[in-house]
Amino acid sequence: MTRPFSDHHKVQTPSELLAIEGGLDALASEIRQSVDAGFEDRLVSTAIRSIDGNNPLRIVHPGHERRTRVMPVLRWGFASAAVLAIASAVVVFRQPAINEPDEAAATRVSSAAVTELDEIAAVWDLLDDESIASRVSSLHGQTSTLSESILGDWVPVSMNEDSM
Amino acid sequence: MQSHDGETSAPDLSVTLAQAARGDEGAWRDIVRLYGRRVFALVRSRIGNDEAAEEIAQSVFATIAIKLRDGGYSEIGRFEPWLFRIAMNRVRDSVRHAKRRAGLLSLSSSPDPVVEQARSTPDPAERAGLRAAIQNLSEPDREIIELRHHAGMGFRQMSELLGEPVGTLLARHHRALQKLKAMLSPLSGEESEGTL
Repeated sequence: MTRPFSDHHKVQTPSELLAIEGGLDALASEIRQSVDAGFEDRLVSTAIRSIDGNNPLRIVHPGHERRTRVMPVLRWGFASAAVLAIASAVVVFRQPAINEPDEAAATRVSSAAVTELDEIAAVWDLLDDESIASRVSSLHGQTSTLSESILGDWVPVSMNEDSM
Repeated sequence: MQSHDGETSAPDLSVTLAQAARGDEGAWRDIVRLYGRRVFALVRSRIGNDEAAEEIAQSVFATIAIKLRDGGYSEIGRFEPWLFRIAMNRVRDSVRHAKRRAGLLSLSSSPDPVVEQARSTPDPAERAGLRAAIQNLSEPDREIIELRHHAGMGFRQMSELLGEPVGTLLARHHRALQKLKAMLSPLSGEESEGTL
């Protein structure tokens, strides 16, 4: 029959157990000291954001971000998509001078898109990938709508041989 | 850093908590300074992953922030047991979730960064052995060891958290230490073999 652990050593000196307690405390201390310098700031930020009623975003551990190499690639991909979307909107917006489509509507959409891009840039570090993807998709949707509405009028005219 | 000593004096903490409930950053810095790393160590010991442990620690502080703001903290004078009860519940939830994803995240077989880190310390064998021994304790024994040493709780606070008399917890802690000692002793394996 297997004896319980406590029966293995019928004579235990307090110093042996004290040594184990010391080892446990040292191990715990090592874990406490293993956090990076921004650890407490992130906890404070999370708590205050929660008090303010904001959705507590997970504040990303810097080490985690460094190890997740795909993240910067994705983020730069999103950034590129956003920049291209805005650029296409601006370029297309300038073309209508030829045909003068609904310039006021185009201005509104373009302005809103620029504002949206500014907002994304302002909170870039606080957003997770999913949020960035969602907001960039929304932005791209707005500018695509703008492009299609303008190009729909502009392209056929420019391609009309009679007009050349 | 505070360890095993219980809470700061009740009047001071109650003022700090009232300020924290209003979103005072200084108050939150005090609370995080007192408890942040202790919560992390408790969670980290069980979860075995730095990022996941910090994520859980953040969720614990988000929860207490919302409860303080909404008046959900009613255990005046028992903040520390309340805080660590929330942390323990989060740990249990996380462990249950990990076990459901069995095979993908085996807590017992996955490489443990703490053990790896311990191997670089001056007495690597002892620390690695101690870490492994903790993982081999029963759930109740492990709980009391981690609350006492990783969370740095006093026995009075643990009594309020677990709802057991201080004397019972002292005995449980002593028995858990004896089990660790038996597991760490090279003689224990030989004795066991000799009895079979």
